[in-house]
This record gives sequence, C-alpha cells and structure tokens, in this order.
Amino acid sequence: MMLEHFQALVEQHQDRVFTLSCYLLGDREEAADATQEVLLRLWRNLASLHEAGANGDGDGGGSVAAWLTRVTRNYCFDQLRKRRSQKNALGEEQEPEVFDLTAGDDPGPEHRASASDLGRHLRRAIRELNEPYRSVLILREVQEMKYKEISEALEMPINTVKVNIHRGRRMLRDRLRGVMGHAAAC
Amino acid sequence: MPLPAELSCDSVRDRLDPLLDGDLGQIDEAAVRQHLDACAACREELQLAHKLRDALRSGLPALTCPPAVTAEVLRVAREEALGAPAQRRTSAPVAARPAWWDRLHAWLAVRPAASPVASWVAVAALLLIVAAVPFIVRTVLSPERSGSATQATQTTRPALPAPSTGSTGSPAAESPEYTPEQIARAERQARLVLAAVAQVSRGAGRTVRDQVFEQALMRPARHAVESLEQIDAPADRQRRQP
Repeated sequence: MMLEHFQALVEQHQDRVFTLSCYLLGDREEAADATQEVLLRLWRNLASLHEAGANGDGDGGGSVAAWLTRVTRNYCFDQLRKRRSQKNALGEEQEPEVFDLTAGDDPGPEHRASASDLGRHLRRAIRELNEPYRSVLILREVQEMKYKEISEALEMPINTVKVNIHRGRRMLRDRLRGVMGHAAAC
Repeated sequence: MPLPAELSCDSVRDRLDPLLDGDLGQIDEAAVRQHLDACAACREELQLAHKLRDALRSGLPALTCPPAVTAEVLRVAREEALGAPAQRRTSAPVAARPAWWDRLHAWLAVRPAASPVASWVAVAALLLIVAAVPFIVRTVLSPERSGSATQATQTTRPALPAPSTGSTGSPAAESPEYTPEQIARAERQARLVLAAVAQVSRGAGRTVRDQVFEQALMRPARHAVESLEQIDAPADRQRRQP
C-alpha cells in the first residue's frame, strides 16, 4: 500500500526533482544521482511526512512538492560545496560546462529554441546568479510554480519571493544585454 | 488620485518586471508609464525585458528524469519494504572501511556504493602512478637521458677554475672549487628540474583521473555493476521467498 503510494509520488514528482537538480548542478549525471538520493529520502521519510500532515496536492499541512523542493535544493547545495572544496584541493578553478539540454531528451518543436545559443547563455547566466535569485527563478520560470508554492517551498514570505524574482530577472537582463543585442543601459 | 512622483531611470528599471507581471500599484504604474513616454532608453529596456521573458519561457524547458533513476529508486524501496537492508550496490559494510578509503573516494569523486569494482581499479592505478614517480624522477635527472642536463654540464665545465700548477697532485687540486655564483646557478637548475617533474606528475595524475579513469574505466565499470545488479535482483528476490 505504502509502496504503491510512493510509486505514484515518484511518477508525479521525479521530473521536477530532476529538472531542479539539473539546473542547479549543471550536470545531467550528477542530477540523476541527486534525484535518486532525494526520492529515496522521500521513501524513508514518507511515514513521518504523512504524520506531519503533508499531502501530494499542496493543500494545507505543507505539500510533498514543497518538501521535495527543499530537500533537492539542500542536497544540490551540499554537492556544489563538495565540488568547490575538491576543486580547491586540486587547484582547479574551471566550472563544468552548462549541461546539454538535448543529451537525454527529445526537445520537440516547442523547445527547439532552447538548444540555441541564447538558451545556453540563459542557462549559464542563471547558474551564475547568487542565491536565492537562482532558485526562485528556476522554480518560477522552469517549474512554473506559483508565488505561493515557491513561498512554501523556500519558507519565504510571498512578497520576498516576488522581489527576488524581479531582482533576479533584472540581473539576467544586465548579463544578457550583449547577447540579446541591446546596448548598455544609461 | 494623487499625481505620480517623477522616477529616475534606475527606479523605473527596477519596476519593469513588476509592471509586466501586473504587480505594481496604480500610482506606481502611472509614474512608470509617464517616465517611459519621455525616455527612449527605458523604453528600449522594456523591450529587452519583454524579450527576456520570451527567452525564459522557451529557453528553459522542464526535463525528463531518466527511467534508470526511477527503476533504481523503486528497486531499493521494494527491497526495503520487504525488510531487507538497503543494498545500494554496496559490497562491504561502509563502517568497516578506514577513513583514508573515504578520503580517497572523495578525491576521485567516486561513490563507494555506486561502483566497487571501478573503485578498486582506481586504487590500483593510483598505486601504479605512485610507484612510477621515482622512475620518472630518475629518468629526468639522469645525465645520459637528459639532453639539457648534459648540455648544462658541458657548459659549466670550462667555467670551472683551473687547478693551480703549483699544487698539482694534491687532494685539494683534484676536488674542483666552485664559486658561489656557480653553486647558485646549479641550485636554480636543480629547482627548475624538480618543479618540472612535479608539474608533469600533477598534470599526468589529473589527465589519468579525468580521461582514463572516468571514460575508460569508471563508466564501463559502473554500467557493468548496474547490469549485474539488475540480473541479480530477481534471483535475490526468489531466494528470499519461502
């Protein structure tokens, strides 16, 4: 019974967890590992989550989606910290390339523009943003989450979420001005 | 309604995204629009904000989780539901491993639970590299093999002070005396050679780790372990059933 419920939750949330991991880590293989780890944490915490009143729909009591977003984000930050300390130990400074969007997915006609240079620049610019701008923008623009859902997932007031999204977009605008063919602002 | 206050270009640019999202209050919106009517640069900025919104919608698609991830998660969950301990590709108890093992794994960026075979191969290769270092040092420093070392010897020999004729045959005459300059130059050359050896061994280690380990050994080993586990999983389940 529990296993069937878990399987349904995995099917419902796995793409969101993988997408968030991929955009935060910038590497498909690491994102796959992160997804596996996060989903197994869900399995091991499912009973206590239900006791706490979490549900799959996000109505009251804190949703599984919000819990998964928080755990995924924390796990990815840990991985990024480890990666940085390893690089420091080895004297390397180069960040990995932006992940290839078409490596595992068939992009389809609606996503054809994503594989373009602009899409690549956009993904790189987002990865270079500081927190919390990077996370709120991914959740809003990629995951298409509502302000309320983001607020719940990041445990942040809704107005702060809005301000962070607007500031993050402005930072992106400033970084991508040259790529998008606009002159520098006055 | 009170009149909107005049805004600077910077304040207007902070308000462009809220304007597009409909998050500005009535007064604020009126002030922004008033400014946009008069400022061409800010109108261009608004166009850029529009473009960026379109690019964000089309350039950042949601991705599909690889089916292998789902299969592995459900396999582990099923095993744990049956009461078996989590066997995520672990061949030996993690607690039994010494700390250096974990540090080595962290350095190689390999998960012990993910690929035990690949881990042993990596350790063996690392030991080989460590064993090869003295040989490399000997080869580089050997005068017969190193052209630059031979050349350095040849160029420094004539510069040595000639033994004085009066003391020919004495032990002092046979051991050449070096000036402080010559000693300093020799020290510099020795340091350069050592630095070159260190650089080469660092670069070789990195290349071996990144290219040979990861591409030629780790990935195939990981795939092999995964497929072995997939073959073993049904057999394990059958064995556990009464």
